[in-house]
Amino acid sequence: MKTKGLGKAWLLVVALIVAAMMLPACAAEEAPPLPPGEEEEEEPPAPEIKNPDTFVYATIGGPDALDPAYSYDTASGEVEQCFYETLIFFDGESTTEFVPVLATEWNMSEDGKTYRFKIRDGVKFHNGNDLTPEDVEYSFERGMVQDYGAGPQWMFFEPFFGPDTHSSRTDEGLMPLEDITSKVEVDGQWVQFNLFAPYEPFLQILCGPWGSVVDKEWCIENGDWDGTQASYEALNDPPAGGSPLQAIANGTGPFALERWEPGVEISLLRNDNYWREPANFERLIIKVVDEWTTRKLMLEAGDADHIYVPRAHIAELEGVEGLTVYKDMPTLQVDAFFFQFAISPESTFVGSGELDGNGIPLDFFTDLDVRLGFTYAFDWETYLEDALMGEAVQVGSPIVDGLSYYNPDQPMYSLDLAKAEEHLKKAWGGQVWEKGFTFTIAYNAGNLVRKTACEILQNNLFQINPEFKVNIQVMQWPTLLRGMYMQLLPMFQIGWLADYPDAHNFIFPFMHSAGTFSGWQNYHNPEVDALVAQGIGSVDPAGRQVIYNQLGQLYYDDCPGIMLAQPLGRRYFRDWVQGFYFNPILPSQLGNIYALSKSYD
Amino acid sequence: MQLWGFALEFRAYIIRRLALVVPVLFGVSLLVFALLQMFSPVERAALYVTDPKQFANITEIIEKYGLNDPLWVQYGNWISQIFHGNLGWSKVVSLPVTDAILNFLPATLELAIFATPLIILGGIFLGSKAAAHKDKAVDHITRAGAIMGWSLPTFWLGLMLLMIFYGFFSGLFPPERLSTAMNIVVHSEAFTQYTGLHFLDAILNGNWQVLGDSLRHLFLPVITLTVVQLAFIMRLMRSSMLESLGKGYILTARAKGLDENTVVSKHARRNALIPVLTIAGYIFALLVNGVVITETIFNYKGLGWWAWQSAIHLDIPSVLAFALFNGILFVLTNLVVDLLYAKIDPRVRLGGQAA
Repeated sequence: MKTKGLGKAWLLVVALIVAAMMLPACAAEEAPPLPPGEEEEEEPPAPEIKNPDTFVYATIGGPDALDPAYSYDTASGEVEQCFYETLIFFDGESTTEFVPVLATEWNMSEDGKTYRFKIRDGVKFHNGNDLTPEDVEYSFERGMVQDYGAGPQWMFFEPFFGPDTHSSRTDEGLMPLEDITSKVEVDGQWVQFNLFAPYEPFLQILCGPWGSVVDKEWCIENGDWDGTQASYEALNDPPAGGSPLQAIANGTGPFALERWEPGVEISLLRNDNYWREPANFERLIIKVVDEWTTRKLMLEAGDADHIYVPRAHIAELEGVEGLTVYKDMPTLQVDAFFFQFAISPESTFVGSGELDGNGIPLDFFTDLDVRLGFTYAFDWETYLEDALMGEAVQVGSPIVDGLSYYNPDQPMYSLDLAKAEEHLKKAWGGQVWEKGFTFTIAYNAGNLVRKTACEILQNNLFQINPEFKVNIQVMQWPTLLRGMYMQLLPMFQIGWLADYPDAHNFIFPFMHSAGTFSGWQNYHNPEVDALVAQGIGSVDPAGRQVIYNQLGQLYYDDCPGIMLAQPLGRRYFRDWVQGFYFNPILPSQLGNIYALSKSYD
Repeated sequence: MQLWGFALEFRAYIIRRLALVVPVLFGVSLLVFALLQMFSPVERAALYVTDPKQFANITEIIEKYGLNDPLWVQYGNWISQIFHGNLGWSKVVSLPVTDAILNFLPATLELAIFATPLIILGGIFLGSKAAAHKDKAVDHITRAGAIMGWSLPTFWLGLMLLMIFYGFFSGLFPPERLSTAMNIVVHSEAFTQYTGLHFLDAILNGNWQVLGDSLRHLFLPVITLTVVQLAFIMRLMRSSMLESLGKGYILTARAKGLDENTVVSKHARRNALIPVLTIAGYIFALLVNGVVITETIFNYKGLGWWAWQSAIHLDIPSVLAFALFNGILFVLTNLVVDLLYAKIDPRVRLGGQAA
């Protein structure tokens, strides 16, 4: 008896659950009653747009923080450029032409050291406060005052304080506050920037998320910098999560922050009081969906309007209906192999550490013939086809297509095993050829493109001489980072993504002796350093072009690394998404989100 | 008097067991801390350097977070933070660790609340059916089914279910916790989030549409968990049941002329439950711990997903906090299981007065 009663109760519960699950489905299918006389329309119905007022984008990582002066990742930049606006912005697909945004007009002094911007009148922040020139002054000063160590502020220190200053933290302690506040001044409706020396990419830098204008009053209310020395000291280089604007937002932009569930999704609500036309949809939701198949199914079901598609999976979306695909867009990033000129004595990747066939000496790569031999042994054709599915182009110098001062006539190496053999026979007075070598290279786990590059080098060197042995090791990112930082790895492979679309942003990290990569690989060339300084110090475009062409030639001649390829981007949208255009420097996969709409016309 | 004495003894027992949490947590945290020191300071700083552009600041980062300090200094700093109620910052999700746990717990609890009874009751039911019909068709079918479920890789089963019930039957059982429209409802002002468990909040708000949507989204992940986990309990129940069916008292019961149903469900099953209970507690704890693959495939982000992300990024405060959470969870689960033993088996006396 007892069990029977229980069985019935269970049945009831199950029935209730099923009924409840059907409820939303029924609600969705219930058609609105047709007005009389309109029931028999012959026209084919327009295809239905799912969630017409909400744009859903599924990707693999969420923002790090919502503070535009603090964060330095594209996922943060993407949403920050919805909340906040900059003085000027890139004109459509151009990376060198600008349109007014919060500034209505601007000019540069003849010596190239002063920039002046007239601030737009009648613009309001999301909280209703008016935009003033003081807000603009505050925004840039606050950024440098906070100067998060792993953040983007170095981009302002260099133009304001000269090529050797990248931080507010100097050898003599924190730089004086007046030094920072004297760089940006208000003059009536105008704001003036006082540069250390001419700096042509300055306008491009202003268009990045770090150039966003925040509301001074609101920032101070929320515990941000209040203009005093004490507050400067307290807020400088905050720990992770330490920015007062970490998780809140109040800008002038087309969308306001509705809700942020870190790791899950961020929801942005249209700003109906926007100073331009309000955005075309009410909500933008960016979801973190780690699993590729789940993202793909969401796109196919129309639950996502756009998803991140890893290159390895593009074949799976061939022939899927209802999608718009944009292809072959040159992205501003490049991967390269770097030779370590001074391997650390602690390295365990150099075998015996001597040129006896079982290892390599620590200065192995200081011999140009070794570097050239390795470079001629690399097969770009296979790399582009196998690793990048043909969706990339070979590059010969760090200045990739799409950057200012790109040189289409840059000389490049190509696979030539005979030449590789010739150089390797000469290397180290013939000892390399005679004794052979053994060492280890590494790639980060899961990166199949880098794995393929390692294998190409391994195979071709072995083919030239069976005594040339390269071992390949897979490493997790922290271990690889340690290998590079401690200069343990004889060769390392890594890439660079543009901060701003000027040649300097790539030349410096790749070639200058204080650059990120060149510094690590201990590459020094005084001629290069002098040219880099000359290049950034000039505002004459023709002169800069000559300098950067020279630097490209030097990269070819010196061969401090093997430049690999610049990937071509792809985007997949549901076909009801309109308005996408590609500008390689925008942080968002979606391009300019304000320009997007969901419609069929 | 008797009752009073028992209650006192009972309370002391619970307090004693709960007090165990302290040394357990100390041991766990020390162990995790020591293991993490096997990574060099640069490797532990990698959490903050996800892009080559931040390379220049590694030395600053190592110094700022004290990654180069001796082990006991780092441990001491961490402990003193804990005593100030600060579990640290979870870098992978940009939240304080406490908030991260509170944010991700509800999704995991939802899965556990639905999957645990299905796994345990289903396992017990099928296991005892199989044992009662040993070597008959029922037995063979359930055993074969169980082995298949057990052997299926979770990621394969999850993806298959998703492809069929979300892809092929377009949108029938979608991934994530709620649909876009219902998610907006849940976060609107008209809806109060009491617990963060969407199905429960929906009931408390009397919003049946949200309830239905929540259950619809729970369906596939719960099924996936059940299919994969059920086999263990089922097989354990079967063997335990077979053993108990072979005992003398069963023979006696049958000889008494009791009907088979009573023999199986009253006499045999109850005795067979004890080993099952131990495993059931363990399974529940594991589910509350989070289930990485299921949470990832169905984008049902809970503690498992967060802990996994923290681990692969060497997010030390998060990993430590998760270890502490686990310590508490397992001590509590064991306590509950022990109390249930006493309920099921009168021979188990508290305070070591076993007959």
